[in-house]
Amino acid sequence: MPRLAAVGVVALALAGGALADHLVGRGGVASAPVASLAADAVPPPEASSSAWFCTGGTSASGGATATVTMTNTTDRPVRGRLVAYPGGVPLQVTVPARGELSVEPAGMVRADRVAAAVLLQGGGVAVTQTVSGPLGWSVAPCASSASPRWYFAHGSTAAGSSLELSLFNPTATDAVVDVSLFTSTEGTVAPPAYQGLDVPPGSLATLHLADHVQNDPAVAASVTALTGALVASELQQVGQPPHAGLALSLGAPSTAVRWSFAQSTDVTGGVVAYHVFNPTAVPAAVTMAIGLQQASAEPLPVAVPAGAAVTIVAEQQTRIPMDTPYAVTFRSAAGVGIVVDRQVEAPAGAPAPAVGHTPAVPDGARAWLVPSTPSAGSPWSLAIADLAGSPVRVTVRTLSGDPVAGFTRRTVAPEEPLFVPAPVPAPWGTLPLVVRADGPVAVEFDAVPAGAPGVVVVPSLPLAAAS
Amino acid sequence: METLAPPVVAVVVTHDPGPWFEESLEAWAGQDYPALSVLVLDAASAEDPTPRVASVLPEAYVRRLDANRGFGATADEALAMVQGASHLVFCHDDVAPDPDAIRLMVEEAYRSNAGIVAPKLVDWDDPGRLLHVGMAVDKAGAVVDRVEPGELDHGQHDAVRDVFLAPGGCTLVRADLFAELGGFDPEMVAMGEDLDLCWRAQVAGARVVVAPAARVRHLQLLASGRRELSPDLVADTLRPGHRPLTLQALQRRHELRAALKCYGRGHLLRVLPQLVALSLAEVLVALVTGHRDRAATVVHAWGWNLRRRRVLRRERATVAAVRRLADTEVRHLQLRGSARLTGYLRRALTYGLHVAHLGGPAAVAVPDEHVIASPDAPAAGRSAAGGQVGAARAGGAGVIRDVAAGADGEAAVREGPATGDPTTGDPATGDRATVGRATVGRATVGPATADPANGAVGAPAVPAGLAESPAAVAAAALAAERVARPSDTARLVVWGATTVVIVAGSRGLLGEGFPAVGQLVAVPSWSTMLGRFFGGWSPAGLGPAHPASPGLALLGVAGMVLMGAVGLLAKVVVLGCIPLGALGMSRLARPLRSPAGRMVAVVAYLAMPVAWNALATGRWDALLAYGAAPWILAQLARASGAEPFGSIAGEALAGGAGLAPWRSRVVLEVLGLGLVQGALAALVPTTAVLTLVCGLGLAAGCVLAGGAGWRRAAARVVAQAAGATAVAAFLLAPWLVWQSAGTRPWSVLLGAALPAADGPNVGALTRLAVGPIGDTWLAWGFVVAAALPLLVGRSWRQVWSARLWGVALVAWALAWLSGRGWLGASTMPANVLLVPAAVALALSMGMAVVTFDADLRGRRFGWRQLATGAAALAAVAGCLPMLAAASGGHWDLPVTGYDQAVSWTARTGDSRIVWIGDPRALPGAGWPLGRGAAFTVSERTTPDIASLWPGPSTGAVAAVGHALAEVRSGATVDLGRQLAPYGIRYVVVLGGAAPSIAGLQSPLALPAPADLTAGLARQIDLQHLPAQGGYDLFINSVAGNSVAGPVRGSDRGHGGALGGVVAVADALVWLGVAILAVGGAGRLRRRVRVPAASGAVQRGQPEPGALRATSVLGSRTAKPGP
Repeated sequence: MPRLAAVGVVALALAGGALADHLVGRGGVASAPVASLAADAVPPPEASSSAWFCTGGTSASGGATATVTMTNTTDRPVRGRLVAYPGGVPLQVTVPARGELSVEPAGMVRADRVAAAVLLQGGGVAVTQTVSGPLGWSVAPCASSASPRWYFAHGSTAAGSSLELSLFNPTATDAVVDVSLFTSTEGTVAPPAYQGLDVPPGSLATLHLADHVQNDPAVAASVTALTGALVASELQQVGQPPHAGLALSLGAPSTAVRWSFAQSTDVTGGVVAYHVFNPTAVPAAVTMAIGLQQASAEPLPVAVPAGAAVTIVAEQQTRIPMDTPYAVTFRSAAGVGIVVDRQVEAPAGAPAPAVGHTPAVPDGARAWLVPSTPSAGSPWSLAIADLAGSPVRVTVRTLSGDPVAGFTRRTVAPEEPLFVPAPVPAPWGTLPLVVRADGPVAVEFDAVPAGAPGVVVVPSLPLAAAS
Repeated sequence: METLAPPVVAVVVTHDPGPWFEESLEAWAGQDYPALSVLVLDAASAEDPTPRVASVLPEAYVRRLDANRGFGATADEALAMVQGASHLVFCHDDVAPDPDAIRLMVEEAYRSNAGIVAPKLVDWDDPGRLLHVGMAVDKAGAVVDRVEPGELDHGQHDAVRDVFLAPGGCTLVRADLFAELGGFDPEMVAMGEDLDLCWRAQVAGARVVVAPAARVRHLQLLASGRRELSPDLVADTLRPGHRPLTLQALQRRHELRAALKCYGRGHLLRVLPQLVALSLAEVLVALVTGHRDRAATVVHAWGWNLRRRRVLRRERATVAAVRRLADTEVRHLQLRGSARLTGYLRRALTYGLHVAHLGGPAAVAVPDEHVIASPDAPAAGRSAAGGQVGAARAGGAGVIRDVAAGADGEAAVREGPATGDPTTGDPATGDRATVGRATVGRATVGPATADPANGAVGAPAVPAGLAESPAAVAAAALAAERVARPSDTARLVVWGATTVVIVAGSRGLLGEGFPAVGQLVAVPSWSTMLGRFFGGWSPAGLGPAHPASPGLALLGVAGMVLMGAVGLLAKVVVLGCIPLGALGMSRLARPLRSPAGRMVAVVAYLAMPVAWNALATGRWDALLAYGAAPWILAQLARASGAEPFGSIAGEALAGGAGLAPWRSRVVLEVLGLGLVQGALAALVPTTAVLTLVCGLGLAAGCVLAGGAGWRRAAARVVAQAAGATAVAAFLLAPWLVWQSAGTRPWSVLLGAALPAADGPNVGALTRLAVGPIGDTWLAWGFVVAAALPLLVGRSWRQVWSARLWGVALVAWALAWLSGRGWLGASTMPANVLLVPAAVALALSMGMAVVTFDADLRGRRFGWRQLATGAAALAAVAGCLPMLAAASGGHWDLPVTGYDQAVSWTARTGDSRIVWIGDPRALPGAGWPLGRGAAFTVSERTTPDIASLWPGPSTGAVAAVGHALAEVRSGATVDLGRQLAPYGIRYVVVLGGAAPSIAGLQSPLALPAPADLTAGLARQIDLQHLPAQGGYDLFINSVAGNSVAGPVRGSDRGHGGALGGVVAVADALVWLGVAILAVGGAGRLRRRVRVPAASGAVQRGQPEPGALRATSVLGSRTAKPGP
């Protein structure tokens, strides 16, 4: 081969390699799927074991009596045990195939604040916790894993409100945590009592945030475990009947750059407020996109300083139409992680609960489980928002696999969320429901009669693909 | 006319003189010394030479003796016959002194008051080439020439000086001194009588000088195989059934006799133990390496002298009677140390052990020696060879056989007689010749050429018909060396500096044992290793019963050889890879025919970051590959059959015609290469593809380079690489079969898949920097320098440069693809894959030196010279990262390993530890755990070397792997419960190659996959200890509640016996293949040595009667051999 040809081949090979390197990047093959960061993700049915950890509930005297509900999405019964904390005796449980099982852990221990660990010999089971009391009721997912970090975008210690942070360590390792509060009045607060807080294995710590931050309507919090991991929930109790509310929410184990609500409705007389919390040390440039069914709205830019929370009140945004459901997606630029929460107050005169708040969904999933609620029979509103960027097809079935009329197969467009207000009784019978799509979607199931959509949200839990 | 000149008698000893004799007589007749008489002593020639003498030199005296008793005894007749002469000139019948030679020698004898005067001996046909200008001797009598074989006479040796030995051929001796000494030693029938005479003369206080102004042409008949040696002379040693006696053996025994005779008693007591020790060492080495002839030579020398101890005593008394100088004064004139040992070491370093044992590369190429055939040897070939100039091949009775190059050939050429076979001589005429030099150098080396396409100006060209002759190539190499040989000082400085840098850079590793980093794991005792191998049970993992790798046995045997010093064994097998690789590179670069090029190649190979990164990350596989790759590539290059690689040692084994196919050269080479590859893979399985990668790379290079015969070359290379890999697979078959029972068996051989994001990019790969060392732009220097021969090289340099770039490109491509997971589920380690690329670049850099010397010298200054300068600077720049890394003293290898970090676990009871993390961070090796992760299990502390062969992932291993895989996928939360039945109490998640210790070490970070760490955090029964510094440690909180004992016992019980049987069978197979490969090669080599006897004509050598090329400076001529 002539010299020039040989030199050319070598040069081309090197240049081609560099180009391929640039195009392919350092990892040409997609890495193995990383276990979902979602704390409420349902383990796959083929898992050999799974665990759920519920905290934030109280005994009957605490005003938020906890009920743990286990929903089995598989075709086989799943056995396990439920351990109530503190100091409870394990309770052997069997969750029937395609069925549910509810247990009140408060009845198993003598304590004001309770937690529960559900240890199952298999996967495919979702566990939620319902709290109910004089102020109303609320449903929150339990955590399927402990985490060293938890973020809460919103809480309130305003007059008449009670805000509790519940820290439960279900692992075998001591957890030493720091709790920081981000207030609208005092900025960042790090109470000494909440620094280096030891949460031994199997113990539960309840922090009354009002002890350190009084009369602040917007309190964000972050929990950081210096060692170990734990589960953190927030219990918000607001006001007095009849205009009162009760909200239990599981923290977000990590920040994200995208958060979604599949549906919101700014009803006349009510209040919808979004709280965007930036726990990082970098300011976040956030865009609030509004998805309407038959129209479009200009995205709303929001600047969130580092270590602060910003509240966006929907009524003050003219681009958000009143009494019209819409989907909301928050996107943070430059990879700065944020956490988003929504607070909803129903118009005056609405039955309890009239106040509630709900964490946004950090990412879409292709399958969702909408678990049961204690108020079956009420009118509901189901919303599905497309997060794929292209039309996705969705199906909705009951837990037993029966198709739901009208939902055999529907297509959801990216900018046009699907809102399905349903009359009483709902055409598909009772919950639970399984929503599947061929692309990532966000699902929200609201109890409309509560006063306004979003006051009480039945949390949807992402299912593993095989579930 | 009356003259006042002292009378001088020239004593010419003849025995069956050939056609040259008249020319010699004419030279005597033409002497201008006025008082010269000529005495011809004929040692019983078959034909009376008197008429021939009379026709040319009618004034000469002729005396015919009735028997041939050798040169010395014949010359001693002059003692009785000559009277009144002041000097005697003892001559062979094949010398032709210049007309003024005798006059000048006599003048110098008087001027220097010398007892013995030697002239400058030059080549008979080519008087411009020096033969001898006096010689030196060491304390053992080993002779070292003062000129290099074939050295041109530019007057560089023309100063009169004292020498220890006046070589035979033509020697002026003061007559009274000769009489006082009693003449030559008559027992020395051939070889060494001149040494003995000169030694005794010096003892007697006489000077021995060389007078270079006096020039004598010498035909060197014996060395060139043109004179027969009568077996009667050595009849006492030629008995039926005995091995043929070589001239080398005669030389050795006479050297020893001279030493035993000439030293005084006190000095002999001091020297004798040294002689004994050196001889024993030589015999031992010769026996170990299978060179029984050499051992027999030494043994014969001692035996012969010991049998003559009475005569020796008399001779010693005679010497004592004439002694005027103490031995200490005589020793001042001798060389220091052992010339033979020095020569051996130099040959070993330069050409390799095999060549060193044989005496030199020409001895490999044409390994025959001067052999005096035993009486019962078949008479053959005389008609074809006897008396044929330059074509003597026959081995008939009484025929001195000298196949072209002679006994020591190139060794004597390069290193001089000190290489072990210093001189030979004609027993009848006393011819001294540097063994084997002349014919090689003269017959095949072409003259200086001005053809820049074929070599540098001044570089000799090889005649077309002899292009592939081993002797031709060896001689061409010799000539090329003269073109590009760095000075000794420069070489000393470079090698010294390189050694200092490496030793200084490794100073921290030479003391204590290695930390448990990567594959640098603990080595158990040799008995433990052998016990495990033959017991068929391995503690690796969970103690499964399966055949252990033969590597365990190899290490066990090595440990046994080192007398149980396993710490030393670890040092040797790890650090020894680096000098082994350097030696291999030197061997690989030898055909470049340029010491400077070879030096550059070796230094570049040492300076490249491959080996040091391997050390820094604890990759033994890469170090083994580093040590072996040059040897493998050298073998494959030879297999290509392309000049220059395919034409030196490779062609030396080109024989085998008439052998069974399974003993042919190719088969034996494949077996040998397969044995090497098998041993590599047996030691560390991830080196299993090294030969194949080298072969594919070279084949791709053949395609890239093109040219004539590239298809054949590529096919040969690929076939040999594939064959060797197949042989290796066969050798490892039992282990592989067991291995295939598990999941992903290839992952054990090729390495577990790395994290997708961790594939090295093209820049890092081409800089050969996949580690902490060399990750800088300076490392591009090697690539730039290696490109020079591709850009400006000519002839074979351009072709081979393209081939080497093919090797590098293939290696880089495989490493790149593998790093991205495009070669399947396994990832071939980039460190291993980069080694062939490093070899190719280093050799290409060496080739750049040859290119500069051969292709650019004499050209007008232009871009090529600029490019050369840039390449030189780039090469220097490329070395800087290695120099910087050397300052640390341990090549960035962490000083603390995981063994120290988790040493406390050993005190907590009999429990197991499961190690999880990036496959590169894992101590030892393990089983794959999906992309980017692997795991292994050990007892009490870090895994030992058995973990390098993890065995099949079945049974308990598979169960543990399944549980860990569930952790990654989030499918379990109670890993502790699942691990407890196997006695696993600790889970260590690795974050780097070693623990990170603030202020002490910051090892390469190799974090475990995120899903793994996240999954472990979900486990409710694992207690996570606080951060340990680069790794996480979990304690299984339920381990104590599960099965208490490990499962080792149950697994060991069954299956172990079968494994042991398989291990023994495997060991036998290895032994068989080794014997077949090594022994077969030896037989083949011996067979090639005597092609005439077998009727085979060695390829590339002139057949009897063929034209004999003779070089003349600046031209090339050929004339029929006489």
